Amino acid sequence: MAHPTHWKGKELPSVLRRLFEVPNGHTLAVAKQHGAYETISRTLFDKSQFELIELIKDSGLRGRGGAGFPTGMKWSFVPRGGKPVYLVINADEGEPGTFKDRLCLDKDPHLLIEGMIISGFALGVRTAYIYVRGEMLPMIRRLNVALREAYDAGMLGENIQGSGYSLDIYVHRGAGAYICGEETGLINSLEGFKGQPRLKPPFPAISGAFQCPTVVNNVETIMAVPYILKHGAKGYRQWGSEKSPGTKLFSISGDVKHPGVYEVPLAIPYMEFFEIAGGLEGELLGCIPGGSSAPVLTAEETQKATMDYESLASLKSMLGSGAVTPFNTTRDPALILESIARFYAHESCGQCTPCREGTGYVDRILRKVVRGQGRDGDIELIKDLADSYEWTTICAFAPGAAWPVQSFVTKFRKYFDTHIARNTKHTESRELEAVRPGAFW
Amino acid sequence: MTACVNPATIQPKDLTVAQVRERMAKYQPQIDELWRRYPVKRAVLLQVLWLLQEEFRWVPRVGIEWAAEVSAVSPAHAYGVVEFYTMYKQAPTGRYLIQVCQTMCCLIQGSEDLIAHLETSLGIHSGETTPDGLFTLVRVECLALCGTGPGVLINDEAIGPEKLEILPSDFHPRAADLDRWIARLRAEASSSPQQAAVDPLGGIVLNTKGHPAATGASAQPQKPGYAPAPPALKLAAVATGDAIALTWANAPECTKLVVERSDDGGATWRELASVGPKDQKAADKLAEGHSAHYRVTAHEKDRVAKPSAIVTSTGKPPPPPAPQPGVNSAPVASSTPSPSASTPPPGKA
Repeated sequence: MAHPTHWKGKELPSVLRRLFEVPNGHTLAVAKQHGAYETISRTLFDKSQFELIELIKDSGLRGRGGAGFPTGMKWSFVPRGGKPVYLVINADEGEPGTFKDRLCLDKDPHLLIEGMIISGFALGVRTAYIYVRGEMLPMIRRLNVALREAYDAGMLGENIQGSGYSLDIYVHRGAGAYICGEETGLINSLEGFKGQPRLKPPFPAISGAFQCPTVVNNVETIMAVPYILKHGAKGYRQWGSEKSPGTKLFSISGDVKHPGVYEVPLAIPYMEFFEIAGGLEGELLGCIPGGSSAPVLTAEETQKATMDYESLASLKSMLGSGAVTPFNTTRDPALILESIARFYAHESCGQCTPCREGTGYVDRILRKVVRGQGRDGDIELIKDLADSYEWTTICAFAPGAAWPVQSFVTKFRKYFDTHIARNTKHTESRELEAVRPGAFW
Repeated sequence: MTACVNPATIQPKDLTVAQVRERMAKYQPQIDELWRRYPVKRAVLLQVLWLLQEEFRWVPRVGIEWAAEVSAVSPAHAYGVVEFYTMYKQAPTGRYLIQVCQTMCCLIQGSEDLIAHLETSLGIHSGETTPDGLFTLVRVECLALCGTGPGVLINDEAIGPEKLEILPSDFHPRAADLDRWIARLRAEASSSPQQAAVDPLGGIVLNTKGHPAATGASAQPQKPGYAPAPPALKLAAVATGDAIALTWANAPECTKLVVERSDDGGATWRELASVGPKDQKAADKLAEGHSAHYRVTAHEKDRVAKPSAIVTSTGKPPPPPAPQPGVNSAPVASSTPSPSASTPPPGKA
């Protein structure tokens, strides 16, 4: 289904999806007709680095990868005039439910390159990398063609458009690890290590890739930058709320009529968003509001929630990467959680013991539960395990793996109990069974 | 890679590093380009392993030694990296690697049925290869195809109804689509016995100047001062009685900021104060009813930035005495900004 242009008499924004439905929008010729690289001119080169960073701060742009950290503030931490600064674009999209970056790279690679030139100029970057997840080989091809076009048009390389500014952009192919979406894991992977996250501090803005200041931003974040430069902070703030301004791409899948990627202003109610996506299928049971790490919302909570960072924080959930997965009453939350738990057990990088072991235990116990081999106390046990690895590790993977477990078993407890009741021996102690830690692999 | 074999038992016995080096010689242009791109050689490891995997269709351990040599790391380091990332195949797979997503959203959309169908029609379990060496079926986690799920990749390209990577937004692979694809791939395999070469790096841009610190690169470091000097921004003046408080924001790299005042509408300016980058404030006095314009010019060593936006302020009558304790209704005049102090948005002056 085509993206609706209007909703309730108001035009829906097209900051990021400008070329999503234009045939051949990924080619430079077509992109230029739609205003690509217009800002790579005096508009950009007459601005100082400080002005650009203040502009992004004023626009209130927040990181679209998941954590929602203010982009301008992240940029302002970078020391200027010292070591080389790196810009690394995080295109390691892998959060279950998220498929927006894949579409962005497929449909409009030139907007990303334009955003990278602006961001690189603001940060003093000489060499930038785009870290693309290994599975997205077609998008890597597309990016490389777009980069070649940009080099040939004098938008990249040395002395861009006679400004004295030089920037090179290289694509780096990952090799399949969800954890490389974590910024320090991504940096390690870029440097040729295993993608295991680093301890912070030092933060990447001070010491990141190759021990130099590094800014890691999501694809979507950087794609919003050209619009902000062209239309000013006020232009971007026409959408959204005070603390969550602008527009965002939401990937919706699950029980809706037209799953897909939609660009909507932030801070609209979830229920309205479902209407934009063609309406729900069946009766809403719950909704995962921001990718599999985000704590699940019940139907009542979904009715109240709006799509911004603050509303979801007040419901003890998060906007995350903007992956919305509503599910209806025909679904079994226990099976959904089992799938999520398996994902995290598979993707734990193995660096910190609580996460490596904890996610595996939760997965194995949940698998027993949904196969009808659960015991009384299993749900308390996985909740306890999740509580114990929530904040005891280096990176935010373990909290992200704990929140779905904690929220699903609290909010949808009866579904788990039904599975346990299927076991005729559910009152017996689990200690009687042989427990084989690590046997899962 | 979920392969049902122990990689240690299937290593080719007579393959030597010298032979690998010889076979990989044709990738030297790409390797040279990769070396140029990163300040340390180690960073090319993942990319070199991709090239190796393309050449051999999997990653033999002798090849890991070659990759370690190319990226100037120990073989143990390279082996650890291969083990860590799931996409490096440590055992050969079939000509067509079919990856089916089994995570959350695809599960909702029926991935289990799809996998069961594939297992029956191919006659293998997931993780196995068909006896004719054509198909390997694996279950994988999220492929970022949740909107058109269940996500199915054939050799890194998503299947569409007719073509790879062309997916209508309402497409969802069903058993019939997969049957069609399998029949088509079988036909392709019988008509062209050689598997087509795929560039695992997606056609990287060759002959770039590279990273300034890399060996063999010709790139120049960033020219300092390519951007204009940073001006002071967000200048604001607040009048409290005859005292004018000026505040602004400036970049940390500024060395000096000169605050100037004009009494003739901006025709002539005289220096009021010269302050350091951390002060970000200045004070002046204006008698009641008198107006003046202010601006701040930032200096960065010997470079002078364009002056900040101009603000106007007017001296005000002295503030009324502080309200009596317990009387809350009287607004405190000194805490509200002067209505006459206009602050035009930065960049408009």
